[in-house]
Amino acid sequence: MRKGAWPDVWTLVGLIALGILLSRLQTSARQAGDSDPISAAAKLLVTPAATAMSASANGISNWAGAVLHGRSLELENQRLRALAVSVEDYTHDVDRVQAEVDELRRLDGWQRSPGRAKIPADVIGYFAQENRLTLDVGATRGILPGMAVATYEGLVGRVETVDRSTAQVLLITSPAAEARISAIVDRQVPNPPAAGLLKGEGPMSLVLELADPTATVEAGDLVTTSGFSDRIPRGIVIGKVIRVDSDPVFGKLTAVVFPRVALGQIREVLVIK
Amino acid sequence: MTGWRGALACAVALYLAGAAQESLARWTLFGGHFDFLLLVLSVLCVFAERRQGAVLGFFAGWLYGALDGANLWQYIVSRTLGGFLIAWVASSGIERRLLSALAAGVLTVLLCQVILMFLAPPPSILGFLGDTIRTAAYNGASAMLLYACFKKILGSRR
Repeated sequence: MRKGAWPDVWTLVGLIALGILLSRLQTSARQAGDSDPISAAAKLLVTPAATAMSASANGISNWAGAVLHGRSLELENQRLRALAVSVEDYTHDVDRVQAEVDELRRLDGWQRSPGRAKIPADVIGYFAQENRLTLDVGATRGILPGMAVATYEGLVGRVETVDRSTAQVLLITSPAAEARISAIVDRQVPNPPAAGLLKGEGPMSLVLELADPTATVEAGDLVTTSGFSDRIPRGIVIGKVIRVDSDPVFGKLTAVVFPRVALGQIREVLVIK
Repeated sequence: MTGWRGALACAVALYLAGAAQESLARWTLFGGHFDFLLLVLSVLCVFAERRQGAVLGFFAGWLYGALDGANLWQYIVSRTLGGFLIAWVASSGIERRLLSALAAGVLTVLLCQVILMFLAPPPSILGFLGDTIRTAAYNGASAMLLYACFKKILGSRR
């Protein structure tokens, strides 16, 4: 290498070191349930221009879509309006029953159960390697770390960090300790549900360590959230048992669970408050 | 590329690329998408010296990681190395014209994404490489247009 190249190489090394330092700051902020101030500043700076660009692009796209698919959109709109009316009736019934449940809980002196409000959010980032999603909702919409994130199919993960307008979600498939979730195997009556702790073991499988090694669990059983949490309500589907491993010597019973939600293909989710 | 005019052009270009990345990068064309930050990085590196290329790459990587909420170091390292190497090649006596901008657009994507692939191995390597090749093709074509704009602003070096 020519002698004149060394200052450039040292600049390169310095910048890489600075990058690693920034990343350490980011990681420690995440562990504290927050986003790092430097990344937050970048987002804050770029958001106005990004919003304007997004609005312009959506406007052009909507106009082009209306020109190309006007007739079919009109028919779809009529169908969806009819569907919305029947959904409204159903929602009204559910709300009435839920209000009665709430009132009974209040009369008995129980705390309000989580899972009453659901905030729709778009997935704006998926990081398979880190088992993480980025959502377009944040603290301004009342999102808090620890809240459950689900689709209509089942549980996706839980909120790890929140900043003003975005939230990072740790997927249920993450092997990180923070991603572990209390779950139950929902068996048909008269078998009681078997509770355990669920942890991620890669993109397609979860392992449920059952608390009771004598519990009856079979392949095909449905696994749902247990509700033993102040943030994650009971009954959200997680997946199905595909294999049961029993170790009577050490008194250990584990079930391999296949997640219900295809985590790499999610576009919209609900954050459960 | 020197002076306040060059620095301002770089800052504005990276800012707009960051905004475009944040708002438009999810739009796909035949299954592929543009990488606006790498596009701007590649064209600016055509006008830059090695050190400037590394600095531009650093900011491109930092913006990418910060906006996407991804791990910063993987993006910063891949983009800084990519910017440094592309600027090195560009400043080694290659004649600056539309075709060199196309080559820079393609090579920047391939180089940076392959480095990133080693730093953060994706679950599906073939899928990742397919996306990378499509993005390289789109960025290469767009780099020629962007180069024509920057040539007027940043002037000719030789």
